[in-house]
Amino acid sequence: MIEAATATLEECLTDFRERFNDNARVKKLIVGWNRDILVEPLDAPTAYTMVIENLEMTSVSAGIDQGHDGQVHMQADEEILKRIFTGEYNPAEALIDGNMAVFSEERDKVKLEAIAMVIWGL
Amino acid sequence: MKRWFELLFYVTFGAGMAFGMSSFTMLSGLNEIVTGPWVVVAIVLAGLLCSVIASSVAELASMYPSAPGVRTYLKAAFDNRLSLMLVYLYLIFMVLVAAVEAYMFGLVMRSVFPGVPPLAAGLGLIAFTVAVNLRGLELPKTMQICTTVLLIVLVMGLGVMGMLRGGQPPAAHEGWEQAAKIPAAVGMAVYLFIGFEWVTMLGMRPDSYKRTIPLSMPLAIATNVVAYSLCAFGFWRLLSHAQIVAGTTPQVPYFTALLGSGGPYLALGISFLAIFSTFNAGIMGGSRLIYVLTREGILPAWCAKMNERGAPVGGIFTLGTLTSLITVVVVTWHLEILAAVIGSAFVCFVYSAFMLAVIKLRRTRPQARRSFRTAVPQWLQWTIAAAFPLLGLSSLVSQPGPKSIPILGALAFTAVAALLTRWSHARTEKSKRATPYRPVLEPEA
Repeated sequence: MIEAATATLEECLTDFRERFNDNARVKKLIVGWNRDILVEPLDAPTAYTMVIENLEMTSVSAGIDQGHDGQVHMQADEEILKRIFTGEYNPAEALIDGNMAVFSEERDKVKLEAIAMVIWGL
Repeated sequence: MKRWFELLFYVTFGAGMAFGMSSFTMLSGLNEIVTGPWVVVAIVLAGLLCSVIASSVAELASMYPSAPGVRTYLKAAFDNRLSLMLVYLYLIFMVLVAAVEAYMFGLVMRSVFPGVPPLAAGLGLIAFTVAVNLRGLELPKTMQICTTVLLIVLVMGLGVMGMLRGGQPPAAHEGWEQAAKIPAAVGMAVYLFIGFEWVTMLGMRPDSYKRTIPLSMPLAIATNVVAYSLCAFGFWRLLSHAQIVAGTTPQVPYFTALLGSGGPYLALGISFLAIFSTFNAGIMGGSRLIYVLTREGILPAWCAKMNERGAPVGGIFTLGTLTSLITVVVVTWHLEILAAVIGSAFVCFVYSAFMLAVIKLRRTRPQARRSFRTAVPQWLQWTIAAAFPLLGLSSLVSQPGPKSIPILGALAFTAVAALLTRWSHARTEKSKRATPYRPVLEPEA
């Protein structure tokens, strides 16, 4: 199991992608939900885009292209993002603590949180 | 998304959240305290005060973008217990307002369909809203904008019509002696704007918190000031004082006086528009607040249950059940004004806490990232922070009848909030989940 303390953000996101794609309950949750998830660390230079398309996370790539419809933009410090994507930090708690910001439609926030709950059982 | 469309969405969302069916009830209630132009004076003053609050809220939102403000801002600034107490008072306010809205819907429905009992219509509305939320349905932005614009324009237009057509002479008691009652009226009029701050959770982009959201809140408040003022003037010119205060749905006799037998139908149509803008978003937002509080470990785990569509079933049912129970009580004993006034008083305390949070965070976290800083001088922030609880308390005792009832009601709900706070605090301490605020997002901008 990957750990936030030792892994890079890219490794955490890639590991998350595998868990995401392997989980049957996640597939039920994302029916008709095609989104670009922009993951932007505030204290590191490289941001990432995770593409969710046709019931699958098809890619995790460096770089973001903001300003389009169907995007979910997450901002936090790198350490926080790594802890969120390795299941060490509940994203809802991160939001309440003010440690993370999510810019999206309200239903997308709930959807992300539901995905985290299904994958990590937080 | 185009910037102007984004701004329009935020403005209409803020204005729509504040403009509910119970707004007419409060206009009637305001006429119990003051009359005629003094109602408008109270509305304008309350709007100005809320704009100052909005400026502080915008600064907090720029520090903690997209966060559930009532919990995050107050947790960051104050002790966990104080934050929890204010969160519970806010949730109680939401339940009380939803119950009043449901009852008002029932009364308007009865004016069109006399055979439909208001309680059945109110509970039906709650059940419908719960079902919509369980399906995870949300109004498209364009629809949200259109319904709110239509609602506001209709109310403004009908207000102007009433002013032009009405011929009621000013009553003898509408002179300067009413000035002394203005503070209580302002405290009550604050209710008319509550909800403008919900837009802070909806930022579409990081940049939204620099200008667009800070600008949208005072614009939403100003829009509602104009709409409420025109409506209050229309009431004053077209209806007698006795007609305005006779019931809690003054819009029905007003529209009837303007449009004849079609008036109640228009009132019902406006109720549906208000439901789109306020009621549904309120239940949805409230259920998500319950959900995130549960995930924080504050409420029992079943409150965070989700269905396959990703809708927060636990929060929706919790809020729907509480609202239904309070609706039964409000309808049975006709406590709509009491419930609204108590809720308004609670929010006055929450708004005061927002002002204090800005002052405190500027001292304790001066280097924290802020993309917007309120231009309101600190002495004014202190003044308003001190004034708001007093306004809330004065509105509590402003209505005719025994003063002890609203005070006892507010104390009872405060005791409930205190017990829940104690219980939640103990839960979080016990489970070691009550993590202190970690100032991770604190580098200099």
